[in-house]
Formats: sequence, C-alpha cells, structure tokens
Amino acid sequence: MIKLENLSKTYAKSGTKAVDGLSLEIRDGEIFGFLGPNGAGKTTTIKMLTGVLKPDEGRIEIGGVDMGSDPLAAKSGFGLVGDNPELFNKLRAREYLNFVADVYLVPDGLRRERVSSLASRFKIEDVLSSSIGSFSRGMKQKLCVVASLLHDPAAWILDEPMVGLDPQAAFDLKELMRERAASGKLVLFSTHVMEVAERICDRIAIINKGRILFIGTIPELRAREGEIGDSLESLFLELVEDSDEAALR
Amino acid sequence: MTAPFPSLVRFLVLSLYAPARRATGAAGAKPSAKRIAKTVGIVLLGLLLAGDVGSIFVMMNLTMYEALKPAGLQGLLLLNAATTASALVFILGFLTAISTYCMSAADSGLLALPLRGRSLLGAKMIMVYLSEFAFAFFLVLVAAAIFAIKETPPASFYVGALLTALAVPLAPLAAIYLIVVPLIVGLRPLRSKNATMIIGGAVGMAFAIVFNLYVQGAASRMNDSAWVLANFAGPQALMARLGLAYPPAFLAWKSMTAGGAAGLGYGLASLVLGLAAATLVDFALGGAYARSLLGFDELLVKRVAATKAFIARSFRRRNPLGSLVSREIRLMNREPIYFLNGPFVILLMPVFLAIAAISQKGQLGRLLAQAGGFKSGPGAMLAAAAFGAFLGSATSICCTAVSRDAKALPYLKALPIRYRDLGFAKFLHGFAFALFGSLVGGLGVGAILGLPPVDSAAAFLLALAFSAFTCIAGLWLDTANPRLAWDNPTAALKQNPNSSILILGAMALLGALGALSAFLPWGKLALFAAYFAAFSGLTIAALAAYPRFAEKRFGEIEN
Ligand SMILES: Nc1ncnc2c1ncn2[C@@H]1O[C@H](COP(=O)(O)OP(=O)(O)O)[C@@H](O)[C@H]1O
Ligand SMILES: [Mg+2]
Repeated sequence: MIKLENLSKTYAKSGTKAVDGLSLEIRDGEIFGFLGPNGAGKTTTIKMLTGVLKPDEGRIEIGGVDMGSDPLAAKSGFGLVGDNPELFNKLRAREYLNFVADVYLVPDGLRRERVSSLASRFKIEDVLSSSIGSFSRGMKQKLCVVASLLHDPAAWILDEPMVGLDPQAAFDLKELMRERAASGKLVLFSTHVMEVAERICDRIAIINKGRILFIGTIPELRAREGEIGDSLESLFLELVEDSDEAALR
Repeated sequence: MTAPFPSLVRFLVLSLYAPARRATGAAGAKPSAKRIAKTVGIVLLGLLLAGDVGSIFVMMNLTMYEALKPAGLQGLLLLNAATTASALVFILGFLTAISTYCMSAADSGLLALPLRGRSLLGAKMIMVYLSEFAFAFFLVLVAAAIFAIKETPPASFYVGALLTALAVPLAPLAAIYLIVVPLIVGLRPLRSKNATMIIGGAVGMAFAIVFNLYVQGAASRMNDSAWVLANFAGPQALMARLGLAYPPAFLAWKSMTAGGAAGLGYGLASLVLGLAAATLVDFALGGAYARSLLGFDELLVKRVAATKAFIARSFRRRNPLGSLVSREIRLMNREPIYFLNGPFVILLMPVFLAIAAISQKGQLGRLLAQAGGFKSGPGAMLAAAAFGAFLGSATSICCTAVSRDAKALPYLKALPIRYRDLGFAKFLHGFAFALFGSLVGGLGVGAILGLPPVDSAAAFLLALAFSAFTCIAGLWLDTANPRLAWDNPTAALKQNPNSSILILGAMALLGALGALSAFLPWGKLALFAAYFAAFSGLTIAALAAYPRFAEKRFGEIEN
C-alpha cells in the first residue's frame, strides 16, 4: 500500500512548481498507471515517493512506513526502475546486480535463484559478465528491471518502463506486472502513452502540471467523459487540454 | 545562419569549459546575499591560491635573473620562459588532448553531422589551445613582468610578450596532435578505449618525467655561476643552441628583445609559423582523426552461459559498505580520464621518485654529506612527511567523489542506503590511496634520505594524518557544493573547482607548515606530536561531524 497525502514540490533552482497538492492511494494487488504528458510531474512525484526528493509539503507512506521518519525501512519496501538506465556503464552486469543485492541484504541462495530466473526471463542471462556500457538501451532497461526485483519487494515502482523495450520485452514486462499484482503485490508505473495504461491498469491517475485531473478505472474514465466511441487517447488529450486552458485563464 | 565551423568550436568549448549554469529562475530574481558571499569567498580563495603558486614562479625567475645579470645575459630569462612554457604546455596539452580525444556522448553525436574531419580536429585543437594559452600567458607574464620591472624595456617589448604568449602554445599543439592521432590510430587493433587512453597517458607522463629531470638538473645548477656562464653565455651556449634547435622559442625571445619593428616582425613570424604548423597538422590528420573516432567506444560483449556453476561463482553476498567501496573504486579506475588524473598519479610517482633518486644520486649524497645535522634533525623527517602528504592528497578522489556520482545519485538515494555510508565509502576509497601515497612518500623518501626507521615511520604517520584530513575536507567540500550537471566526465573532475581548491590548498598549507616549522624552535618530537595531533584531531572531528551533514545535504540535492 502506498499513500501520498497532499504532496507539493517546487524545484529550488528553476522555481518550477512541478507537483501541486497531489494525493493518491494505491492498494496492494493492483496495477496503477500514472499517466500524463511530458513535464506533467510524474518523475518528480516518483522521486518524492521513493525518497530521492524531499517534498516541500505532504506525507508519504509505503507499506505502512512513513518515508519522512524512517526512510531506510520505507526504501526497503519497494523496488524502483528509474527513468534513466544510463547509470553504471562502467560496471559489469553481474557487479551491478551484486551491488544492488548487497544493499538490500539479499542472501546468497535467493540471490542466485532470482538472478537466474529473472535474467533468463528477460534474455540477458548470457551477458551478465559484460560491461553494461556495451548493452543496448533496451538491454539496460531489462537489467534495471531485474535489479529492481532481486529483493522481491511488496511494491514495484517503474518510471516510463516501456521506453526502449522491444515488443517481446514489453510483453514480458506487462506479464510480470500482472503476475505480481495477482500475488497481492502492488505495481505503480508512469507512462505518457494512454494505450499502455489502457491495456493493463486496474486504475489510473491522469496528471498535468502537477495536479491530478482524474483517478479511477478505465470504464469510469469513459463514463465520465460520456462520449462512447471516442478513443481513450482523445479523452486523455481533451482532459489535458482543458486543464492547460484553465491554467491560462 | 552561422557557419558550421565556428558553431562547432563554440559547442565543444562550452561542453568542456562552461561552468555548471544554474537553471534560470524567475526573471529578474535577485541573487541572495548568501550566493554573493559565496562567490566573493571563492574568488578570494582563488586569488590567494593563484598568488601562492605564482610566487613559486616569481622566485624561480628572480633567482635566475640575479644569476644572469652579472654576465649581462638577463635577456635569456625570456628565452627560458618561452622554452619552459612550450615544454609545460606540451605536457599539459598532451594529457588534455588524450583525455578529450573522444568525449564520448558529444563526439559520437558530432560524427553523425555532415562535418569534415579537419573541422572536427580543428575545433578540438582550438578547444585545447584555449587552456594552453591561459597557461602560457601566465608563465610568460611572470617572466616578462620581472624583466619589465628590472629593465624598463621599450613599449615594443609588451607587444612582443603578448605575441609570444599567443604563439607559444601553437607549435606544441601541432606536435601533440602529430603524436596523439597516429598513436591512437596505431593502438586501434587493441580495440580497447581504456587501454588506449592509459597507454596514451603513460606516454604523456614519460614526457613529463623527462622534462622534470631536465628542469631538476638545470635548477640544481643555477647557483653554480661557472656552469651558468658556460651554458648561457656565447653563441655555443646550451640555451642558445636549444633556442636555435627550437625556432619558436628563439623567435619568441627575439620578438621580446629585438625591439621596434624587428621585434614585431619576429613576433608575427612566430605566430604565422605556429598557425601554419597547426593548420598543416589539422589538414593532414583530420581525416584519420575522424576515422579513428568511429567505433572508439566499441566494447567487447562477453557471452557466458549462465550455468549453475557460473551463477554460484558470480553471485555472492558482501557487506553493503564493502560493496559501496568497491563500486567507487571500479567506477573511478575504469574511466580513463578519472584514472589518469587520480590513482595513476600515485601509482606512477614511485617510478618517478626512483628515477629522480638514481639520476641525482651523486648530487644528493654530496648535499646530505654537507648538511651533516640535517639527517638527524627534524628537517629530513618533515621533508619526507611533506612529500608523502603531497602524494597522499594528490588524487582528487574525495574532492570530486559526489560530482562524479551525480548521474547515479537519484538512483542511489532510492536504495536503502544511509547517506552517511555513501559518503563514508567515498572517504574510504580516497583514504586507501592516501595510505598508499603516504607509505611511498614517507617510507620511500625516508629510505632515499637514509633516515632512521623511527623517523621514517614518523614521516609516514604525519603524511597519513595530513592526507586523511585532505580526504575528509575534500569530501566535505564536494558534498556541500558538488558539480551535478555535466555531460562529459572530464567536467566532474578537471573542471571541478573543488579539485583545484583542494590540490592547491593542500600545497599552500604544506608550504605554510614548512615556513612555520623553520620558524618554530622545537625539536623533532615536539613538531611531530603537534602536527600529528592537529591533523588527526581535525580529521576525527570532521569525520564525526560528517554523518549529520551528509544526511541533511544529500537529502537536499535535487537532480
Ligand atoms: N532537476 C530539476 N530541476 C528543475 N526543474 C525540474 C527538474 N526536474 C524536472 N523539473 C521540472 O519539473 C516539471 C515536471 O517534470 P517531471 O516530473 O520530470 O515530468 P514528467 O516525468 O511527467 O515528464 C517540469 O516542468 C520540469 O521542467
Ligand atoms: Mg519523467
């Protein structure tokens, strides 16, 4: 379970208010899509949620642990696939995986078991000894996915995870999301593509300019906009456009 | 529309030298008082450090002037300045050229643009020229200023000096790329960027060592007036021959001393010749340069079947702090630019030291014999300690540790790692090399000077306490003020003000301590006890205060 209460963040350097009074609750066992155009504040929200950025205001709770008062325990409760897979190009894949597993205190037996099954699932099992710098973007992304699950976290948080993945890998990733949700774990991912969210999310939130425009299921979104037959993509665009206009007024 | 070449130059220069610019805030926002105070502080510190280093050159030039004046040869001061500047610029430029040969992200992007090889190489040469010019200007300025104050030369002298500063870096620049491009092309069969860069760095270091030996040899004889006269006076003198053998220095010298129109002519000639040489190299090697960039970043992909045995061998649990430290070491040593400017310095220094010791053996023996009391007094112990301290604080590991990690910080902060442990791992990485440097310096120099073992050990401990202090001070500095936005790893280390502040600061502090020790009437034991207590005390206090600071500061960083 993840709870965000009234989160706000203004970047000190640019003075941009990236997130503005955002509240959300994500339940165990659901796949939650965080949807919005570029610059909407998705990454900023995920950074606050994962303890990377300090919110100016608001409270974050992950698995019942408050991020502000016990960040280490809160951070142990999720696995993160960040928006930038270009991180440790100088390390070998296995060195990186070992590092992450060490940090999460994953014992040897479980570590080997999970590396084997996840790496072969994403077809990177034969390049574990190679330098990450030699990987394609998609392979790096897959490696980050593997690393994020080594400690089998209760919550799985992914920032734009489909970017750079081939159709097979994207399919495998969605499959894995479904499996985890089915076993009672929580999946939260951000995307700017409606179609992705439409396919697999139990619930979605649409955000623009740091504010939530809609929270609910896909059928609820259709019902709210009323017009059957309109594609969800255009509903999404309309919502965002309306909020842009409201901001101008 | 701007012509492609100037904008290419602009792009490269900005990507290497541009300071980390803050995203512009609301229009017309006033800079805060704190920001202004900080900027003023940094400028003052910079001036202080420049003055400190500058004073060394001033002293060298003054000594030389006094030695040459009696023979009426003071003009040779200028020839010496031009030669020294050429050699130093060559060495520094060589290392810069190697480390910026392929600035991965920027250059692979450029290769996709419709640009000629000679434009690419030319732009890069101009980029390297800029920093060389700043350096040459500084060296020529010091000599010219001393000469001007003592001799009050005509106005044409100043024009000549300026032309010299402009022209001096050109010939070395041409020579550098004449060596570097074929070197890298020749090393291509290795198919390893790292090996290529490291071999290139070693070649650069070799030049540095040879030059250093030459300077040491010359410097040690500057007080021997018979030698000075023999080598500097008359047409057959060493310097005159050297100047003739290296026309750019000769022209530079003439442009400052010939006076009037002749001086101007010599100055322009040196500028034109230098430009011609650089252009020739650019046109001749531009194509080869561009071709050598293709696939420069190519890496070997090792495919190993993930058998059970392989997994069992490769995946093993480790203590998180140990894992953090080994991550630091790997990331540093596997980036050639970091390796060359960091650990490599310390690893190569013992070699350098050994060569210097062997080549100067006779000289050293004589000196030590003359100064009978020196070996047993505090001077020798402190000298060994100072050398060890210098080595131990020379790697720039801690004072760039946070900046180098800037891209990974958002990810690391989402892991359940205490920020203090992250910082502490960085400290341990630097400290390991400080330990090595102190050992080499303290014990190695102790052995060369023939110190008693107790004194060598004391020198080692002093060096260690000092370099441990520079480690934590550097880490503190880089945690407080890291360089977070960069697209070329060079920027995190070489263009990081923290690194210059720390290296120059350590040198200044060592200098001040040397002066203080000469002034204090204390014995060996008292000096050792005072310095050791001071630096280990400061280190421990800073280490004790760091965790709180780290928890707060890392939490605040937004990137
Ligand atoms: N490090 C940063 N410093 C200053 N402003 C930032 C930073 N990161 C993002 N922003 C600004 O915050 C807003 C939201 O960005 P972000 O959260 O990255 O959006 P998204 O992930 O939805 O595309 C944008 O206007 C962006 O310019
Ligand atoms: Mg984003």
